[in-house]
Amino acid sequence: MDEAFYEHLASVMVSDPAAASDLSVKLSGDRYELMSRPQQSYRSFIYDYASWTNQAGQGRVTLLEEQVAIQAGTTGLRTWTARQAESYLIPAFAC
Amino acid sequence: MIECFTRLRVCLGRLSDWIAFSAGTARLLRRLRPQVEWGSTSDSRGVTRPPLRGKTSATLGNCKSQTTLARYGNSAATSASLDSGRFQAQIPPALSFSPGDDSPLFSASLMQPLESLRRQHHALLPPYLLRLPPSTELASEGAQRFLIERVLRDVAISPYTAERGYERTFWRRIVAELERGVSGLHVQDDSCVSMHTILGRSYEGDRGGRSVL
Repeated sequence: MDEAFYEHLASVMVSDPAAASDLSVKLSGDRYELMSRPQQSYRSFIYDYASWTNQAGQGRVTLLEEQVAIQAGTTGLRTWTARQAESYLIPAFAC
Repeated sequence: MIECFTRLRVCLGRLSDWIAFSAGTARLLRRLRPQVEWGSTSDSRGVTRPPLRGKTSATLGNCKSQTTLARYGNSAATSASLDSGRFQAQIPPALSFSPGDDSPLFSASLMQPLESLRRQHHALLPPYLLRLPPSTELASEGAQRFLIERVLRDVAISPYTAERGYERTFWRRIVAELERGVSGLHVQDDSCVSMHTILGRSYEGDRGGRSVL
């Protein structure tokens, strides 16, 4: 098995200093675990529209999102599934 | 009296013909039987090798199926789905994974699940919803190269990598699956080697050598 997988897994296993301030304690079975709140993350959606394609032959949409579903009483910075479907369908009918 | 003797002679003649026919048929069936029932094979010199049966032939079948492979570059346009088939995407042939001429071969049918896995990773699909190919196929050398070059170090999203927590859960599951597949591949290779060894020794035994069976 390639060592690149282990190296990458070891690098992401190290706790993120930026997330240290969001630590919380969670009861898991009979143990308490130290959990960090999910951070913002990029999500990339790859499409195959001819009008969107780049040199590699694929179109990509990248969004910066929160990883929690509810934030401050709203859905916050999170893409709705319906919006994703819409972004997928609109270029198909606009051409 | 003479008439009875003639009839008896005719009957004996028919009986001997029938016995000869039965013996010939039995000899013919004995000759055909191993090939029909157990699939024994003969090489170019006409030497019949020991027959295969049951689990052994299935194991050898798996070994043989691993040799019927194709390069990614030869695969036609395939479709990949993201998140339980809601997003159907066509993979153009230009995107076929072709690391180079000296690259290891792997099944062209593996392209679709690997490309689907790539898109699921980039879209942060929860790891428990991932649909992975069989672990032995995922652990093949070509599939591992695809995972490294098109998922782990994908230049298409290089500035916009996924969050560390998602990467952790995603690659934990992938590595566990890879380890399971690698151990399965080793077991499969050992069984293939041992069967070839046994068959080779048995073949030597048929030619007058020492048989281990």
